[in-house]
Amino acid sequence: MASYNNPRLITPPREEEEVYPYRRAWRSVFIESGTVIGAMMVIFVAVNFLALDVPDDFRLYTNILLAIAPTVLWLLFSRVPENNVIEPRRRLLTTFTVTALVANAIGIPLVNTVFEPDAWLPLQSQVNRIIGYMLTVGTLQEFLKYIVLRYIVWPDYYRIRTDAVAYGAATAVAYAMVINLNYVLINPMAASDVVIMRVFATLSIQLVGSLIVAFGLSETLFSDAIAFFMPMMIVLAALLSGMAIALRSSFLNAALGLSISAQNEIFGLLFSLVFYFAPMAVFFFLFNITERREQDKIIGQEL
Amino acid sequence: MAMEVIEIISESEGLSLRQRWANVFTILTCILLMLTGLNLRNQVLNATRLYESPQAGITAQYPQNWLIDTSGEYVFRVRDMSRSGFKTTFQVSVQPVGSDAQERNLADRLSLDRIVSFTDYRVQPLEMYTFPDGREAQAMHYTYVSTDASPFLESVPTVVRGLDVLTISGGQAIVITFRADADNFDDELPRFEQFLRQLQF
Repeated sequence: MASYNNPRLITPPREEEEVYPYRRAWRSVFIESGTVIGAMMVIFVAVNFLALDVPDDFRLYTNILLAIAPTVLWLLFSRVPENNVIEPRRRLLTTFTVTALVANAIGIPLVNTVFEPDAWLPLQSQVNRIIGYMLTVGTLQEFLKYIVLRYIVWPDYYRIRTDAVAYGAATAVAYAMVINLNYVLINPMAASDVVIMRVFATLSIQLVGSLIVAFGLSETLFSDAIAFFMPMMIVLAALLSGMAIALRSSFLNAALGLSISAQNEIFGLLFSLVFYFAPMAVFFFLFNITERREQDKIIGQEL
Repeated sequence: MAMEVIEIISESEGLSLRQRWANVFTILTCILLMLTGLNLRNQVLNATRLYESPQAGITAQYPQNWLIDTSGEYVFRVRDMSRSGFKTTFQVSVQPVGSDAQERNLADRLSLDRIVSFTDYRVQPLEMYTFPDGREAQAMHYTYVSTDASPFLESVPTVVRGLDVLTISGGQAIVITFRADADNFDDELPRFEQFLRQLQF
């Protein structure tokens, strides 16, 4: 008769945890943006409530550092982690570099010398300004970023939907870096809180626009969306850029009065935060929902 | 819950017709939008308003967003107040002259007045200018240094380039003046030429 007094314990087989082979692009985007928002809050409080400001001699260097801060964060949280994953995204740095060069060589000169929005838009009505910025600055920016993505990484380097997010974020950070550097080199003595708020505003406009374009590219490739879907996404991205540029200045600018007035920085800051979070939440949801539908479709086909 | 990875490897050669058209439509849409933007810009920048002075017999079309002033020693003056630094100015003034007066005499008199009131006033040789209707006039180019009236503005003086178109008509001298920051003069000159083309006196 067998004895069961000393049972042998067998370790159950460990279920192999599936390793996600790609860098999680959304996580990187949120970490980078969150860090910039955190820095913006700290600098805003330090300058406006604690009267801590950068000495004049160091302002230019500090402002340059603030302008390139999103790029440094992107390198740390997006580009470097690609080296540690099983399936890294290639041409990420190429996309970034080409976008920066295109922005500097075509984007900014075209805006300053051909479209010249500052020469004719500030005196227009709010609606006209939104349309004007949309048709000029907004469309040009999104078009240039689209062209870079289309001819460098799309469709060969798009394997999953979040590849669109990763490459889109690279173009956004690059374009924002060039605009911000251009701003601080023209205004070297700008106050740090003004610079960091502008850096975040530019980054949010570029990120939102790029992610809309990214969604269009991913739907065109993976869902074979109708041919007009991508142009519609470009128009939407340009419209949001136009709205952000026109409305931010309306929130930021001081009201005309007889007494000395200053910029409403807090309104500008709140507007930038709302403008960043609302479209990001919508497109995060849209990316997820399309991904799940794709999964359901594949599971349905397997069954 | 472990996330399933859906990897779709595609190649550009394998693009569907719809994807190819999407690219074409996107590029065309962007070009169309930017051309519309450029057209809108030109419409706004070239938009004008009508000014009429029955007393002086002058009708002019001046840039829409410029500030008009009729209170000085001129028929009217319009300035681009959106410009930082020296405000680009168009001005039309009328002066009585003798029956034998020439444009040359008028130019000399203006120069003598300005040497006193303008800092570092320098005048260039006169040139011929022909209005669209064939009338002859003299064009006088000059430069001077402009400083803000208020020293508290702490601004750097600006080098101003000016152009006077001088003509004598109906026993009175008409001086059409264009002044701009020397850096912007060439950019603004086409607008002044448009102003001259539409000026009636």
